[in-house]
Amino acid sequence: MSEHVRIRMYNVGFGDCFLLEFPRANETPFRVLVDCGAHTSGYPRPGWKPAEAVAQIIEDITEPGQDPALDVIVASHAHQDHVSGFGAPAWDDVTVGEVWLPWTENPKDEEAKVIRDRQNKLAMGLELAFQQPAFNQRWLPAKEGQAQMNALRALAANSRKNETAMNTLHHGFRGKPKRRFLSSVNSRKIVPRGCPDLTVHVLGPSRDPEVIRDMDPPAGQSYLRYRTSVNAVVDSVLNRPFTRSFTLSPADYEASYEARVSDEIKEAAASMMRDDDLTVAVSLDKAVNGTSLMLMFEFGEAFLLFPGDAQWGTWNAALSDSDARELMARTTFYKVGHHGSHNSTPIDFVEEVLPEADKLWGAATSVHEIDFWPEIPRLPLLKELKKRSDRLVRSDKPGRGGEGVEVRRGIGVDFAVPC
Amino acid sequence: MEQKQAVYGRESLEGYVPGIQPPATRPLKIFAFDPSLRRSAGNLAVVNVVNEQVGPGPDGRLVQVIDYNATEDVYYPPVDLDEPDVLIQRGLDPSDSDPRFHQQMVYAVVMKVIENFERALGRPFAFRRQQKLVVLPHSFEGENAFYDPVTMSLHFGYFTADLEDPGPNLPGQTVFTCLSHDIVAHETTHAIVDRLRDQFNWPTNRDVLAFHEAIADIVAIFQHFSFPEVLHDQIRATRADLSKPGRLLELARQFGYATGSGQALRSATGLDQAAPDPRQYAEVLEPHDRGSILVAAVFDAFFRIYRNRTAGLVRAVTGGSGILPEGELQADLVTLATREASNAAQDVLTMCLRAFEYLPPVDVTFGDYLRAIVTADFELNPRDEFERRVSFIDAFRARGIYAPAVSSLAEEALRLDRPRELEDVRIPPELVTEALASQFKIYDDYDQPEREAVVQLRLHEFAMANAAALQLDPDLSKNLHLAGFHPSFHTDENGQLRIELVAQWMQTPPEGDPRRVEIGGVVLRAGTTAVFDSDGKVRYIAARPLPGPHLTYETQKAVAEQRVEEFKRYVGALDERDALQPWSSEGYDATRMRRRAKLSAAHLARPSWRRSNV
Repeated sequence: MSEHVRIRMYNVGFGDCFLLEFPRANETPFRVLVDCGAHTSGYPRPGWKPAEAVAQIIEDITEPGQDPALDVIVASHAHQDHVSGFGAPAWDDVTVGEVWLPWTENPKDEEAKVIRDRQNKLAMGLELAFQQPAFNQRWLPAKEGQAQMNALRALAANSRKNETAMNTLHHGFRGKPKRRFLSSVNSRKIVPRGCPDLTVHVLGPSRDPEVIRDMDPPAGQSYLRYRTSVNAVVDSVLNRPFTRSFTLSPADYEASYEARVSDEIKEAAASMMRDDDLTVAVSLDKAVNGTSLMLMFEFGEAFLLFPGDAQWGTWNAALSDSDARELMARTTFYKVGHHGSHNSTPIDFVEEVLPEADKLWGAATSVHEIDFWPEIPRLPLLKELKKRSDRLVRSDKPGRGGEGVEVRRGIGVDFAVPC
Repeated sequence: MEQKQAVYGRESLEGYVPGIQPPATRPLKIFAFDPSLRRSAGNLAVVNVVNEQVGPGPDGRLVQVIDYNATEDVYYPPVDLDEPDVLIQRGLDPSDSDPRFHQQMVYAVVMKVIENFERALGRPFAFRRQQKLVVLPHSFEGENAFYDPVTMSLHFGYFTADLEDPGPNLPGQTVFTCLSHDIVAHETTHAIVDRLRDQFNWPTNRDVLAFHEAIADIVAIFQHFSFPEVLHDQIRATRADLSKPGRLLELARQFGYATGSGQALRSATGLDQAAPDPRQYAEVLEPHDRGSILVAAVFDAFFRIYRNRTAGLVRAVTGGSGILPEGELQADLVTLATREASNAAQDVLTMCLRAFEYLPPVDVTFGDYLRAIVTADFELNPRDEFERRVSFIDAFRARGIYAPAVSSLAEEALRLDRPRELEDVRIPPELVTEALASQFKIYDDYDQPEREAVVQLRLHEFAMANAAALQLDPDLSKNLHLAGFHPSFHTDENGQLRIELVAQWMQTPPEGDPRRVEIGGVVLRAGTTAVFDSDGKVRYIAARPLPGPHLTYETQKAVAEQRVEEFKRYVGALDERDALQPWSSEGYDATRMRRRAKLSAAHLARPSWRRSNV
């Protein structure tokens, strides 16, 4: 038995894609793929396509003389930057044992259905609303308006339902894989068939009402409207609060009446609308991230923590649970949450829970810098993590590698985590 | 409030034709709740607002409605309330489709809220620098409404009701937040609270923004009790048990349903209908939800006071048993109970608002508010009729709300006091009357600025001379300033007129000073409110000090240290939950607390959890 778990981080830009290989005696390693997706605004290089990463994965999981095979596929949550790669047709030829998804993806779960519907509806509404002329009108005059508009559209697009990819995850692959819908309540511990030495602890998402609340985006009523306006006539009727006879252009109004609103007041209204755009888009993103699976893979001495893009709600639930907290304190490898951003790795976790220096073997941040999101990754966070492990590797700037870290040029980084 | 002048008589053949006195009030039609309740009892209400000069808009002394729509860049024509066709029918009839009714309703509700504050505070109200509050009833498309403190304007949004789950609305119907009595009252209260305590927009501890939201909800819900028909109907329906859930205790019903939540936006009975849970006060952070804890405490107290008031009545009609017979209540009993409920509501609302005089100028907590309520009420009603103060104290205790630096929740301990050092110092007693006179333009217009300047100067001198006793830092005298002063007058339970002078000072350590605590664009300031009696002596002080050697008592030091800690802890908790940070530009950290205040102030939030899922 080899003494290492191999973790292959594929450089997919702003996205996540990890292959975990747990060694087995006299057998091919037990292979788990965690996520496969990239944000369209953050591809690693021009002309790149997620299918490129998929082809590489397939090459990596094909043993000589055999069909490509994976024992488990984990899709942490339904964001584009975690699942878009599953839209590639090449998956049809991959044999898969099990597919693990968060409980919110369960088609038979009524509560999950409500959450999914709300998220999907709002994602669609936002995407359409952000294409309206009114959107341009309120953003263009703002400081760096064009950049902010691009950022908002990109943010909303990430939550757009990826039908093809989700369809593959729910119904695709060879070998009729079993689907499991996980929560920290119904499945705390899994020992996958075919790998008795591996225990997977499900730390999130929970079904706690507080956590669920975070998955529920704001109603965003005024954005939903656009989903129904298939044509301009419907749109204009729905749009206007009063009939034309009550509606005066500024010029007509000013000719008859003295009262005016100042430019400052007009700007206050516009600024509110912009804040609303931002708040709703961010809340939707947070809601989808809130469904993230948070998994700890325990294999011998190796404790690999994969929190997806879990946000405060899921983290808080895990950190408040003494068993989960104890488990997290044994982390030897940490997949940094949400591309190294501020809100997906709590300070409490880094300062109080993560083991001191030599116990944390390594950490990986899968990220690609995007101009309009300068705070991703959050550099002070990476600096703190670096203090706890020398092997903090960024997918976009992997450096030269070192002991246990091997850089595959143009492909990604391999870690050999002791177990 | 400035009223219309009488129409004086004209000369006639035999001297003068007697003039007609203008009425004190102007009747106007509104929705007591919102259009979703349509013609249910009392929803179509007529309210009497003060009869002032109004131009088209309406445009009055304190409030100016301008119907501009920023989403579409259009105006809607203003209503002229003085037009005979409008006057003759007591204002326009309720209508969703006529913006002029909307303007009329917004104006009427805003004026009613102002009137409530004036009654409680015992003085005429004016916005800062005598500015008018500008109101835009259809400012933008969005399920939102907000008060903008910079331009002193209220903005109401409109939106399309949920297509699949519209509740009592038609799918896709336009919902106007300006037609929701509660939303208008809520936002107006924000504007008034901002006038009384402008520092309460700065989130320096977890209670500050929540306090703003709570007061706004309290005022909105208590106003329901001023609609006689609504109240009468509810007393009948609930057999005089007002604590039973119903539209009286709901906030923004149509809004809640129209956004697909299957319930009203919030309610007077708290986050969930269960028994009070102190964990909520310890854990909940979102300002509207946290505010709901305070709202529930206040209404808990109100229900008890109301029961105490009606207990005798119920005993009298039940031959002493106190047990009401089955079925409908007797009509007279309903009428009498309605009267008690209406008086109790007015009383409790007045208690809640009058307490403002006794709040520190900065960094308020719910505990400070409890102390202020108890102190203010003790001043006017020392006997504690109907257990008003006890009811409040118990309701706060049940929710785990304690006051900083107070050893127990006994009434004596909660009442504000004055430090020993201030027992023998006083301001010149004339100052109190000067301040009083400066409130009335009519009294002597030309001297007004001088009077104010004199009072200001004396109060500043007083603070400089007694800084340490006021828990302000004498070493930072340059950074000490008078944040405001005003007289207040009331009649106490013996029918005596009480005149007091309330002064507030603030102190902000300058940039670079080690005493300055600033995070994310919000500075922690020291602030003290002092209430002077008409003899010029200090009666009470309410202080939020900053740490320093000037603090002499251990409790003061503890409060000061705790403030700094609380602020940091609060920021830390918000940082952890902040989903906006990753998507922001680099300067975000430096202004993040200010931004959070703005974002939460501009939101009605949403129901805690949607009923359809439970």
